[in-house]
Amino acid sequence: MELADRAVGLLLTLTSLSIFTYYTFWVIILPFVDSDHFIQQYFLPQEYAILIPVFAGVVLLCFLCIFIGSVMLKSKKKKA
Amino acid sequence: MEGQQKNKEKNKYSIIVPTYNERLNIALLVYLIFKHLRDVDFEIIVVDDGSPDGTQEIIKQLQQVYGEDRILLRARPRKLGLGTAYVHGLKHASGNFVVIMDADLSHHPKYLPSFIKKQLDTGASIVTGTRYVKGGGVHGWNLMRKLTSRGANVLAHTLLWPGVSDLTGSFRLYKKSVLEDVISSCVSKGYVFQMEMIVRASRKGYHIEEVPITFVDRVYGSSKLGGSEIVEYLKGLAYLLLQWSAIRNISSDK
Amino acid sequence: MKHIIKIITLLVAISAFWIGLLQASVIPSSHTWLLPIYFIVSLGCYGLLMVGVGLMRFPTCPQEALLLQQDIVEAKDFLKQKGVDVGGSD
Repeated sequence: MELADRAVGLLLTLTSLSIFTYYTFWVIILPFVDSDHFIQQYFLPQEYAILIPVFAGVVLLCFLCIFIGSVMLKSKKKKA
Repeated sequence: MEGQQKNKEKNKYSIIVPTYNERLNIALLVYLIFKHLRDVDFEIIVVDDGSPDGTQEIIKQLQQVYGEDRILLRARPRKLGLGTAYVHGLKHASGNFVVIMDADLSHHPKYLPSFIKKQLDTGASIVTGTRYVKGGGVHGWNLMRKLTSRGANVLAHTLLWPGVSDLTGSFRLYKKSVLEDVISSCVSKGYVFQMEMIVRASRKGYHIEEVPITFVDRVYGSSKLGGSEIVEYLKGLAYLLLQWSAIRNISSDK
Repeated sequence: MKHIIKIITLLVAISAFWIGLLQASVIPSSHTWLLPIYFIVSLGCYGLLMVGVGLMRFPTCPQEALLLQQDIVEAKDFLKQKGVDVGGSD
């Protein structure tokens, strides 16, 4: 139980670090690398560097709004 | 050293414990407080919100054992909320320091001496118990509870910069005048109230110190953390982000 | 000062810096356009990292629960002797 929780923590840490590293590489370093360089084939085109985070952000925001909305509705019902 | 000793004799600590249906826990708590605070002048103020389970009868029995001047029962007719319970208890407090703690034994009285010692050593206005440092800890939380608590903490620290590691803990020692000052400007309810208190105090520039405590989640009964608590917390955060200036202006106008 | 103003000031300072970069075109502008998103992604990663680290190093105290149980037994014994009614409710 204890160990499993720590493992989840480790997983979150690693996920966040790898996302950060990958994204940094993608956005900051890649534009300076020649477009025919072999490393380019491991990355999607630049426009996805915008599209994916924006999409994820919108999904997250929607989720949050739905969550807050549903909780508020529930508490209102309880009061009534 | 001698001065400190003198201080220790002069100081009086009022321990305010709000209760609702805690008839067993309050008896155990009182015993443990008396066990761990031997050479300190203190009183326990129980603010009972009209518990139907006979909490008040137990208090009266305890008064027989420990003395009516050490345990004060200041009941209220019905459930009126945590924040106002402290205000109510504070009115009857005769000590120059006030300790607030929960009655459900998640806060162990054995840490009271370390609160008092920390205050005497540093002269702090507030000593707050923190669960998230070395020597502290939490028992009885599942993964979800840990996740939300960590998430809430990161969110609050990123947005509010409070300078205190445990915002929602409620095991604290205040100088009485400081508590009176801070509590008068607080409006939140539930455990957001604890966060508001410490954030306001830190913004008012009071000296805050921390001591590690352990937190054993509700031995009897169960603590709840559902969607509505999370939403309340988010509201509290937004409130604290926005509300401060008005209060500050009023107090600086004086 | 309102606390939110501090945060907004910080954000404005960062945006000013960014607009400066955009104007000065030290680096290609298509590249500069990505920076705000990069900033937000970094912030998200930071949050996730802090939660992860916090969870990994979450201090727990199973021994405290045992000690508390002992204290409870001790307290009950004492209070029973003194005639306080501690039975029943659990």
